[in-house]
Amino acid sequence: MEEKVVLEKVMEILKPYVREPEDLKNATKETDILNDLKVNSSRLVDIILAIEDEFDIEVSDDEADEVQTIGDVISLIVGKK
Amino acid sequence: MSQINAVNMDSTNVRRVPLIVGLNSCSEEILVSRKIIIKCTIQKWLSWLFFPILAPTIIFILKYVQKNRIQDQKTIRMLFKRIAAENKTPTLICSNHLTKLDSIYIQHAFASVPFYWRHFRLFSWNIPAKENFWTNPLSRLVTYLGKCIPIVRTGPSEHHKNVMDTFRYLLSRGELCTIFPEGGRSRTGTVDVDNVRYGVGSILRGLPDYRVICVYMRGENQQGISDLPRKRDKIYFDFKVITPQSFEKGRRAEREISRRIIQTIQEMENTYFTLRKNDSSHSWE
Repeated sequence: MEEKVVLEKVMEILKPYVREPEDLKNATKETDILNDLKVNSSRLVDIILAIEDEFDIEVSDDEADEVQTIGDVISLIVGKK
Repeated sequence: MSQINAVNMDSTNVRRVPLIVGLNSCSEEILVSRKIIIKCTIQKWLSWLFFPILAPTIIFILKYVQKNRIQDQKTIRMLFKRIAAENKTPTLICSNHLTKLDSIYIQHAFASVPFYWRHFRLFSWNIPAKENFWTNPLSRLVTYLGKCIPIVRTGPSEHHKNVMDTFRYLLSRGELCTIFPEGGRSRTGTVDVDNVRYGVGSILRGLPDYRVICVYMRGENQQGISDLPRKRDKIYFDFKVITPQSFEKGRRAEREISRRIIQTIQEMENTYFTLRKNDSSHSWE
């Protein structure tokens, strides 16, 4: 799957969990989900589960713990596809 | 049989010390370091030793300085004795959270000082935020002797995992533990279902058997969050025992269990507001 398509889908998944929509507009691969987008850690779990559903993949606890940035999410998905 | 392994994580030679707990089946292995087990044991004994001095002092403040009273306290204590003392099923207390001293009010509502001293495992462990209660030596001492395991909210996931594992270990030993599923005091002044933390599900997941005492409490004039309930307020107190289960696995199970608990607390809140609405001149007797 193309990285661009993955990025678009990830952004769509992140949308409901981000406090300030403006932060998401300016987001890049280096954007930290917890600190820059101010998503709380439990919502990060929701995001991981939504990604599992959307891309039909399974993310282990250890892999989920590694996720910090949007780039990490994309690498995780692309790596499993 | 549930097998809980104590792992000496500090040593390069990892040692596993099996601890056998009388529970029926094992869903997941709980790993705790021997250091944590020793720490908790020492903390519990010191808490028990100083309890006859510390607890009456705090109760005196609640009753005669704050002048707060728990509504229907006799009934609550009678029911709690029946429920909590009957067996050692891991029991987690989950409550809504509006004031900094909620956990103390919960303990005070459920039993008397002499009862806790005789059945000290029923005096529950807590996870207060370190930034709130670890501020000065006195506060540290009281927190430590109050069976608290401080957590750094913004700390690394490894730290959170250690605290959760410690709680699971304590629960499996028949110790009561209290947690606030919202993760902090509710900024909205009501149960914030959308803000539920899945830590509560994470603690319960893997325990072979458990039950949850859901608590809803609120001072009669409590609007939003505050450090303490208002002086002279009677505290409405309701609780319900549930055993939330999930057919899901992993994080999905944690999420489902956590949501079930917070929904139960929200239902209890709805009952509270319905009662208030139906009886605007509620006497709180």
